[in-house]
Amino acid sequence: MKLVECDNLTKRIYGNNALDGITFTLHENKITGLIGRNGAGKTTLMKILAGYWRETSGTVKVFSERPFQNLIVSANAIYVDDQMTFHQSLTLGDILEEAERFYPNWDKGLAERLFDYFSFHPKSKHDALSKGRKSTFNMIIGLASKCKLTLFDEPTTGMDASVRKDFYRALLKDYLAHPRSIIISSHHLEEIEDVLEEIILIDEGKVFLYQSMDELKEYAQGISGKTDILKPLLDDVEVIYKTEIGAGNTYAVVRANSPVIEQARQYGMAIGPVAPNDLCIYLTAKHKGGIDDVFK
Amino acid sequence: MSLNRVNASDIVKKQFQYKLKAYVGVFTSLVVVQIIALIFSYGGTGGGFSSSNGIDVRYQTYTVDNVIVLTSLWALIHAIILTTKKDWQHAFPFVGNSWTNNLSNILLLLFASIIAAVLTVLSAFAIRVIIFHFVNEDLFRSYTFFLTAENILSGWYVLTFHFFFICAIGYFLGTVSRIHPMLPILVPVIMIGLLIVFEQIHQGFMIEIATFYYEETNPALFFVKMVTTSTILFAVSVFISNRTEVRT
Repeated sequence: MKLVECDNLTKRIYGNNALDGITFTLHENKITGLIGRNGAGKTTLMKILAGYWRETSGTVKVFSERPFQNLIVSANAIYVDDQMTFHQSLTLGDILEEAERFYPNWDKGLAERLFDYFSFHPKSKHDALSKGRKSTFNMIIGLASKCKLTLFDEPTTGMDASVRKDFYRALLKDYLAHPRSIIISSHHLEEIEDVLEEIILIDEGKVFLYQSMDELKEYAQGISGKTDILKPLLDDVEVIYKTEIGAGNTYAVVRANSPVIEQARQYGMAIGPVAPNDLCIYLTAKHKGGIDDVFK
Repeated sequence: MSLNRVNASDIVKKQFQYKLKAYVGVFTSLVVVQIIALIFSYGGTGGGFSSSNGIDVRYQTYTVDNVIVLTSLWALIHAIILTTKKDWQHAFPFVGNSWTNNLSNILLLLFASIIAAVLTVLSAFAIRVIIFHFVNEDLFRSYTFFLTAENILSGWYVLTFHFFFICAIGYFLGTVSRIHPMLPILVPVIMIGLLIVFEQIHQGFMIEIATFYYEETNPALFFVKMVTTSTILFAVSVFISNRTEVRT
């Protein structure tokens, strides 16, 4: 079943196209990473999918329904971010009780076990939690609600390294036990790449790349070698990223099927895979040389 | 995993229960407001002095007008608060949409109005007890000192719709103010300005409005006037807010 369908989806916010003709289809029961730089449109896309924001033009369907203000989407999808707020009068215990009443698939056992594991106190107030603790608590709600579509927007904001690790592990274990569709947005692709099955890379409101994780890992190769030899080779081919390292050495990233790789190999240059996180940064860089260009 | 079907009335019910718990402050503030109003009423709300044939009469009337005025203010403020961006967002961590959120808000305001009316009627007893025990004068009790069942019921009936009407005004003003960031300042200015202008064009305009609603002696007609106006105000509010986005 098609879970999410976007066709030429556009969202204007204060005159800017936050989303600019997004088209993709998402199938059920996968963990998808939504990757992009700040302001690429990740949050906008997720809020539209969750039914909070209205699309400006194009079509968007979640569970074959238009999501904006849709009760079925609201009951079967949950959006978790660090802006989640609750009434000051409710304690953490109250919030879990209320969530249980609202979400039909609520997993009370899991919620309680996670609640205890992260040593929350049922009488604490959500407002009084620190940033990282808030994210941790919100994550419990996101996981225990067991919605058909779970949207995590930068779920690890403020969490320390060990809680992050626990979170990804909990996510994976829970997903294996109860397969469902999960979309996670993050800046830290290196942290979540082991969890993800596929990624959507968006940039400037457009889908730049939509691939499985395995495909992404083989998308490009990095070459490093002497600048005087490597530079002429790169002249006529598509270069994803190029930078000078040290004196007279250049590191370049090219598509995996590029003829340059074979030539470089003959020159005895070092050729290796590119980490998906780095690749995404290179792909969406505004300038080929990165921040170095500013200081030239 | 199959889709969970939900129906709106079920969600409205759940949201209403959720709000009863979350907005417990509405009811505690009601109690505080009424106590303050009773203290204000202790000094009497009116009085006078007359003298004829060498007999001086000084009289003091005690009413719960203060309680009604302050509770109306309480109703207005809470209705506005319900529509603020912050509270609107609070309503959305769980299942719901603008429609169910509006309906459950209106239910909450209706419920609060009923309770406020009950407490206001009871405050009429409280003021009598307080005066009887603590005012150091011999009381001349007029026939209104004794409340009849009819007094109590009609008081409760009128006050319930009165508070609900005030809530509808607050909810409407709050919702309109959310359309544009400048409106929270402009709306009160325009409202007060309009009232002044109408009063200048047509003397006694405000009194006529008050008379239209509050001098109505037929209970059925009073109901129709109050409920129709409240419904229109709420309907416009719902229409406006169903079009706005939630959660920033």
